Amino acid sequence: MTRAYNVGPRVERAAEVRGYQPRPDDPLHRPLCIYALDPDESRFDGAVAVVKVPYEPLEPGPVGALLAVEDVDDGGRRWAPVDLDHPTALIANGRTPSPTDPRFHQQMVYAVCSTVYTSFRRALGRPPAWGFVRRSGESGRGARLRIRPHALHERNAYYDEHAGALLFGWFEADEHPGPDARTPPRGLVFTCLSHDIVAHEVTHALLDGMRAHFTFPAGPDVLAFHEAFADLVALFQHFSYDDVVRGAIGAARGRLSDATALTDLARQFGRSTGARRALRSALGETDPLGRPLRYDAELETHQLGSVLVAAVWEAFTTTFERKTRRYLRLATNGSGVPAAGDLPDDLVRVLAEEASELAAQFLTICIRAIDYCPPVDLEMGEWLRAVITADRDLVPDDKWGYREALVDAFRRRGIFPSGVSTLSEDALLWRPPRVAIPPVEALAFAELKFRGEPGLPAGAAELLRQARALGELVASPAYTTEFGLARAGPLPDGGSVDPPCVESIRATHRVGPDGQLLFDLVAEVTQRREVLDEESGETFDFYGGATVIIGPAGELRYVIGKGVLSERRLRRQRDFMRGEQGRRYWVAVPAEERAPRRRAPLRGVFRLLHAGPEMPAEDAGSGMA
Amino acid sequence: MPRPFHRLTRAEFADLLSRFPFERRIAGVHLHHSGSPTRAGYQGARTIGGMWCEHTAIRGWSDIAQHVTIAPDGSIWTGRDWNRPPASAAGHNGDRLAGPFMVVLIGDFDRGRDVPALDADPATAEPADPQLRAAVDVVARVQERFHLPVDSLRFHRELSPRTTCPGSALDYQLVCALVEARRASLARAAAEGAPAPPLLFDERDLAVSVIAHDLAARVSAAPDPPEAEPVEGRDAPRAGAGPSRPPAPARHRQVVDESGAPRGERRARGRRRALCIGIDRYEQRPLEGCVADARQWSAALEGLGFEPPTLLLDADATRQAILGALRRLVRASRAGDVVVLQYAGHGTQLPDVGGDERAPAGTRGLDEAIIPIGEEDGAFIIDDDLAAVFAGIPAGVNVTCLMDCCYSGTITRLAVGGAAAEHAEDGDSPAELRPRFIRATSEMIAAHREFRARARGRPARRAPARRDARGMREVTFSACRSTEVAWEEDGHGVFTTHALAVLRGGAAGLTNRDFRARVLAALGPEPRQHPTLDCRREARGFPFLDPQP
Repeated sequence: MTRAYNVGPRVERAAEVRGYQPRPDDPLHRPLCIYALDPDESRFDGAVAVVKVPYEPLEPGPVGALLAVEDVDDGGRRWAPVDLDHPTALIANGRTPSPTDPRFHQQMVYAVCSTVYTSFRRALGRPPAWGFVRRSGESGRGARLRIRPHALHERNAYYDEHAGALLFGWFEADEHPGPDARTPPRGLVFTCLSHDIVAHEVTHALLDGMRAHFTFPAGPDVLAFHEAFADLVALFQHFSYDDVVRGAIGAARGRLSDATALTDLARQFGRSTGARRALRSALGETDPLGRPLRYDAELETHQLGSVLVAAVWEAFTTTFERKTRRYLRLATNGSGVPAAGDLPDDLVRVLAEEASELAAQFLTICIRAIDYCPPVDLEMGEWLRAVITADRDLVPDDKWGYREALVDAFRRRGIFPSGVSTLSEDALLWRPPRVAIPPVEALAFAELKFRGEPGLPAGAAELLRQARALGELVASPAYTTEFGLARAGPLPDGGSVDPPCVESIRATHRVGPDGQLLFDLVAEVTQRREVLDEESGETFDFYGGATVIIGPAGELRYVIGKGVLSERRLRRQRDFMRGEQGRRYWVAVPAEERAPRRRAPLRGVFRLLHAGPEMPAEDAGSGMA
Repeated sequence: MPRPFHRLTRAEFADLLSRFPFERRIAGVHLHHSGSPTRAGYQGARTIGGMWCEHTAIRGWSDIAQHVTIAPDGSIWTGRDWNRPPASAAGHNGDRLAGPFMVVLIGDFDRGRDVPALDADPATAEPADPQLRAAVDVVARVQERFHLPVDSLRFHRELSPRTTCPGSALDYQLVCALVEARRASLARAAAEGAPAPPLLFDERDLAVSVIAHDLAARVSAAPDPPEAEPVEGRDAPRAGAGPSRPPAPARHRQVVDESGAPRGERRARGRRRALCIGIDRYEQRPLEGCVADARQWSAALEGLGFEPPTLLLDADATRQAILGALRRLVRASRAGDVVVLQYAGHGTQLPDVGGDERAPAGTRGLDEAIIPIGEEDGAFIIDDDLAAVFAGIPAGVNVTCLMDCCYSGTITRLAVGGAAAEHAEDGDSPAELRPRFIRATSEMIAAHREFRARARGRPARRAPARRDARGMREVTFSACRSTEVAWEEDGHGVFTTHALAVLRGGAAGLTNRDFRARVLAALGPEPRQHPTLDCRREARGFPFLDPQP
């Protein structure tokens, strides 16, 4: 008998995340030295920072509860693991930053990954789960992301979603690196020493843990969003390092757009490959008239992603200027225009503090919005709606106009959500279901079991129970369409639809009307449709489904659906698959006997994505079955 | 503490072999199997640490016997300093100048046991099984390094007629042929191979460089006797596990405490006796690790100078048998004796039928119970039964209970297992773990009432009035707190596994308080269960498993 719905493997996997539970006598933090940007920067610009990583006991590696550094290089040589619990390391903030000390490299990747993980945990109010399967031999402990700082001898670094690993490359710099490069000609460049590259890669892993189908290239925006989001996290992470922020704001006389140390991403990587500039910049590209690059589905993935990054960055700087104008006026006798020369140190300090606080808020906004995104085929305009709704749920009163600044910046770049009549805040908010759906009592807060705090599920059995309660609802024929789903079975066009699948169910928090903290559930339901393309005779997958946000009484607050039978979406995916960009990510896979030929997304998409357009798809991996 | 044991790949072993500063000439390779631990029982570093404990604490050797240990997954674990003679075979261990290199395969390779396929992969001519492949590689590389003939490989059984080690299923000629083929392929690779790529960092930062340094660190202990030789199966004869093997010479079993005095002499003042109980075959919710636990405790206690303990396993562990054996032990004890009651099985809570339980306000009156075989007749052993026996403990006798079940040791405490146990029973626990707790069903309670009613009809041994900790004559270690569950994992109780590891690490000079603290520490930073110690206050500072002061 066919089941009406399935429960995906990631539901139970969320219970495998077993972060370290601090004891009362534990220190709060473990201070560790890192390169705040990369080894190319001067120490006078704050190149070396001490980050406060949440404390956990570490085995040599370092190996903690969620991250495991394994330093086997591309030649199979294992480098001695750093022991950060050794008294010498404890007294000296770990190893001293050095490009020639492999143990420092291990410390750097651990510290940056741990810091980014903590940002996600703080923003989401729960420990983020990994998307990959726990390795055999890890029975009894949680899944851990493996980090290999010297895994590749190539100009690349990527998240391997199948192995559950971050692989960092090293390479020889160009014969003629840029004039600002501190790396000698043909000197070694380690991607694991670039703060931005490490933060970017671990963000891919975290985002993959939150959304399984964001690596499925259903349209031009999906992978571009993955890239843009990873860049945004790396950018806002810059603001965690006080010396860097103060130095950059001072040098740019308070104008964030001129603070290249903050806006550039992976400078050493860019300069050492002869590009004479950073790998990417938050400012994005402009036309000769200074107008920002606009959204265009034909753009290359990174270029398309940079449009989103530039939009968020513009909103950030707009808000920063709004919030800091008063300080500038105070410091300039009301003119708001600083005199020539350096800004007063106190002013720089105030501006830096404001920038850091604001960056932390924007980072939280970006991360929280993921919970409010549709589960499949994300479009950038939908992310804007997710940002607006998520932020309104957390900060109902938008005193400084964060949301308005975001809407304006997206509008200037031609990123519009479909199906929205105006760009007012109210119009952009996600809606409750159109038909009346009774509350799911089994998912009311009073019925949920936790492990100490609402962010931690009581166990796999409890998550399964919740997923089944939701599965029963979405599989009910009365509501199927509301969730973007269709009745499972063959379709008249020769394709077929699988039963819906509950992919995940998690807790999230928001602020209620009286300022009280409330806990919702966020769940993803997806449905696979196999499409037979009459033109090519090939089959391919097409997904629909919905993100469901359930309030404390079990009521459905939002249903953010993507119809599995939507012809508009199907046309869009088909166009993308046939286009120049899409052909890189979709490959033909060998057909089984008497089965139609099949086209499937490339396996190991991040390796291809990060290697740039010159890498042929066949080198990146084989197609998924 | 053992120094760190390092896990190596085959390539790393080769690298280490080429870097290690050998001062001793390797004259041959000795191959062993462990017997126990078996391949299935391999648990990574924990298994190697356990072997180290066995060889040092029980046998009294200065270090783990072998130079390398090969795991079922093909991992190669470093062992003792490669410049020191091994404890491989009596009279064949060589000395500091020359002698064999000792290799141990984890597993029981006797015919009919867990023997991997010996077939070679046609493409590589190497064994398909990763463990055997690593073993052949290690032997071949050591022989190449020291220019030894293939027949310098010796099986343990050739050197000692009393053993089949490294397993009757391993054919010497076949293994030699595999080694020869491997040596030929290594020679070819050396002739044809491209030079290794340049190093990314300083050579001293390579893991193998650090390991070589670590491995060569001198152990300050006296050298092992030339006749030092391991006995398979972890020394202790296993009941029902085939013909027992002769024990190692007595002087090797002697464990030396920190003062340098042999422990046996210091403890010769009284008898040391034990009752070990393990029950797996329950009608409801059978367990898997209790019989194994009882056997392990029995072997470990024997290793500590106890008389061969009385073992009550499964069907033999009835209420009558347990209480009878315990009474005999207690009655026959004199000042200076040490008596151990070890129990691994289910625990439960039952309503108080005698009306003697003074429950705190708001709670039910409950008896704690352990569940012997025959539980369907209501023949449980409740705390009052044990209290009645312990009331007869003569002064100066150390009675120590080691309870690997959900059982609160104070006897006056009421909640065992509690809410956590009920969750666990509902299946809300990882699949690899089992709780040792049964929630009493209405049938069990009815049977219990009936049994007790029948018992009241007979002349009963008078249960003493309820006691608090001050009145306790016994010392009780329980596997968990009253609000937790005692778990079993990988075929053993979690408490037993860690308690025995502490014991093997050397319990000399430990007080009861120290022992509990060490077991708790061994359970790691986030223990699922917290072992407890219940006894009168001053007994916390008494020596663990030693006569009372």
